[in-house]
Amino acid sequence: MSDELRVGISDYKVAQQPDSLITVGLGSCVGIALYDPKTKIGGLSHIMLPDSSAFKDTNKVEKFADLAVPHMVSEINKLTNNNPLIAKIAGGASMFQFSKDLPHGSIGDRNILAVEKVLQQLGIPLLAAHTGGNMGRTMIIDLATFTVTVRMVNREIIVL
Amino acid sequence: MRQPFAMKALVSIVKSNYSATELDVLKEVINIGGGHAATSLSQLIDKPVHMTVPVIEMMDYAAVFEQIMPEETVIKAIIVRMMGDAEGVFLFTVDQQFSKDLVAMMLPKNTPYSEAMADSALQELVNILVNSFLNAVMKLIDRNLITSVPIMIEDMFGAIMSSAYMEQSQYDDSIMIIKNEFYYLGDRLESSLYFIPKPGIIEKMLTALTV
Repeated sequence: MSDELRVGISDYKVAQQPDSLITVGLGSCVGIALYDPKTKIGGLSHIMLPDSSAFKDTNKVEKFADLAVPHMVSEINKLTNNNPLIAKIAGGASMFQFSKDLPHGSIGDRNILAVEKVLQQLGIPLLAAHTGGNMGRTMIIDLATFTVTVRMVNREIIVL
Repeated sequence: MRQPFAMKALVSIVKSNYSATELDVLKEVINIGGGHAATSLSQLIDKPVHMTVPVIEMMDYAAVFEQIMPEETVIKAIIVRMMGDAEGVFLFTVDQQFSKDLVAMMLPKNTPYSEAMADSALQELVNILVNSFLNAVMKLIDRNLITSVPIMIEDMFGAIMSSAYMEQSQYDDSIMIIKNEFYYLGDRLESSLYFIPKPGIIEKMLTALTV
């Protein structure tokens, strides 16, 4: 029996095939799928914010791109003997017409950049991405194949 | 007329930095604003509309999606930005079926339904609701507040709420839900008006009201 494990906002989960991981309602948030093809162990993270450095309270590491990804990686590494990982990401929308008016760019755009940066720093290749735009997304990872399915609100389905 | 609405038992466990008095003041401000909004709504649809005590509650996102609405529910949301002496947004949410009913109540009988007309009618409705809300609040706090043109999106509740709060610089896992719910003949109209202020705005409002 395989389970579909649900990852909430500001959270991540690690699992192995035949399970799948799902996160729902990604707006400006970004979903990061990491995977070790050998052991078929992977993780899904749902970050809200790009960078923890401006915050005093960073106890919730799962919330920030710069903390969540390294934490999830070390959790996966413990189970996989440090096998190389691959990544796919989705999300980072600018939901509202005025989202782009923020002084430092939209939160969605900043989240995407922060995730790309941390993956690069960790040497994890980004195989596919479906990011930006102005629509929310649901992201499902099949851990048997690392097929990532992105569902949009207009019922459009993108397979990464 | 008999009060046709059942008072919803509000279990508000408010974990916040506000004192009980401050929360009462805030609740009263939102109540007055919401009351004016309900009156406008009632005039627009030509039916009696009532409203419960406003919900003012600190909730984390998990609780929001458990208690208010699941994050995957697709809703229409109309957003109006508030500018001037205080910044924030109003978010009016309505589920898909009810948006049709609401529009049918607003337009003359036998108007053929078109999505474009319905969306435009809803945006206008929210424009009027928010401005009646703000006009009442402005008199109370003696501040000048203006609104943007409403914009409408249709998307998942989770994506809309998290993005709306974060864009108002509310980055915590716990968010302060401030909303009015409207009732019509004892049934909850499946619509709510959320007020999402930027940080510090509530403090400003409270200061303006404290002599």
